[in-house]
Amino acid sequence: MSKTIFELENLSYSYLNKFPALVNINLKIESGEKVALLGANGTGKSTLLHILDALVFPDTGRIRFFGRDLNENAFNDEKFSREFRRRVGLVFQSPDVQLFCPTVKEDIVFGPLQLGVTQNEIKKRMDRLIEILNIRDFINRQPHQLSVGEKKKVSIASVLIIEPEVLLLDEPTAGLDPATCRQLLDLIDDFHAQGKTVITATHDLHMVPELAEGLRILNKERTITADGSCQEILANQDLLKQNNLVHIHKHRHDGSWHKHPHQHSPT
Amino acid sequence: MKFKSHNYIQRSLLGMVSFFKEAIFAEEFAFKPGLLQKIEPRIKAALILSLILASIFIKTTPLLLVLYLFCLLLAALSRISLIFFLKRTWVFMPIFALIIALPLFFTGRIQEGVLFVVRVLTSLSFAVLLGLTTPHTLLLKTMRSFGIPQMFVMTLGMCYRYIFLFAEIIENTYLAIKSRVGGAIHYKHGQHIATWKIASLWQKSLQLNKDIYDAMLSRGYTGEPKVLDE
Repeated sequence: MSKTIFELENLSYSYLNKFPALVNINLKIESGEKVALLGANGTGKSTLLHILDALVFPDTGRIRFFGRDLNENAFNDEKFSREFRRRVGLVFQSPDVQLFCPTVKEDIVFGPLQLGVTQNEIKKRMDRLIEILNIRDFINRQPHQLSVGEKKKVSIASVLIIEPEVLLLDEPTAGLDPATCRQLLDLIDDFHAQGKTVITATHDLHMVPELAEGLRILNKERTITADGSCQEILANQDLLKQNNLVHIHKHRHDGSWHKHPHQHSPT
Repeated sequence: MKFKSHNYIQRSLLGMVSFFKEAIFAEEFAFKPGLLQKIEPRIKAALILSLILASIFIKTTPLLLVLYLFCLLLAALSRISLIFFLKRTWVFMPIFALIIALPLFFTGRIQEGVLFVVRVLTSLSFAVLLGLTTPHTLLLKTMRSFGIPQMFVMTLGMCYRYIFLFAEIIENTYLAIKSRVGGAIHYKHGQHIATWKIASLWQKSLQLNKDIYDAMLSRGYTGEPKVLDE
């Protein structure tokens, strides 16, 4: 029987109490789900991930994590705070934000060290991740010396080493070359295959069928406008068009250019 | 009405970017098989620190010059290009010594002025030598082993890390302006662009500051950084 991990009720959040970022969000995420928050630029996807990771708290409405209210008071309880950080991991959109230590190695071990994992266990987990992600060559390098793809891999390693139950990913495939992208998608698949929950914010329609089984669409009013399976939602061209999510494909046929919406047929 | 073109903004920007690029290049010296590179970082740091202390307490210029020459010898034995080393140390001299010593030269206390300049040059050269022959990550670890609080070492490491990110932003901004302007711009317009860019970099650094703190919180940071024992 699945358990509800996150439950958001009439949740709203604004920047500086002036600029609405999320409006009246109602959302339920069950344990083991692989879900994508799909929306055009500026629809509040990243803010929603930050709310789910309890980095910001709603102005109105509520968010519950395994039935417990998430608010500033909850994080005054050191035991709960540590437990939450151990169970939920967020990979930020920009690796330059995520990688703040002098070396790649220090960045990878930062999380478990703060969470009190033993040094031997950290070394074991790190060795395993280095092999899986094939990052041994640059483990002692400085983050600013890495390419975008390498930084992304290290960012993911820095969260996976915590062994969270819920993985939050903010635009994980943005700016990656096809080979790195493939490797990353396989990694997310493997993580989900272990029964863990994956929540991805993206606007990349090409990647959605691989990133998620369920979709929630955020619209320009910064609220959730649709909730369903990947198959149902991607088949609804009107809904995608209304939300600036139709990918217009342009290519050449017999010497002339041809435009049509890109069709998605998830299996 | 014609205006003379002023390229000081361009010179300052390029100078700053090339300084940081040189810093990346300079890391190569730390991995060369030279004399100082072979010494264990903690012993090396203690040795250099005692030489800096000696240069502070020596009261005669000739003896200080001997110490300075010893520093140059150590640099040569550590396979550091002397021209690079001299450029690297003398670039700081106007800031750290010459401006301060200038009144002494004008009031006839030339010997005192020379002693002060040579003393600063010698201690600065030893400090630069330590930085050039030790990878900065090992330098940070050495600081920790000397009992410097982890919070301070971590802040220093983060400054070093993000200074490169900002150098990259500055360089890209300069290239973006250059690609759109095509030639020299009026200096007043140049000042306007530079002022606006400084403000936007300030905003960017504030945002980055907040985001990085969030990234730290997200991975369990509670205000007391912990490090791996190695």
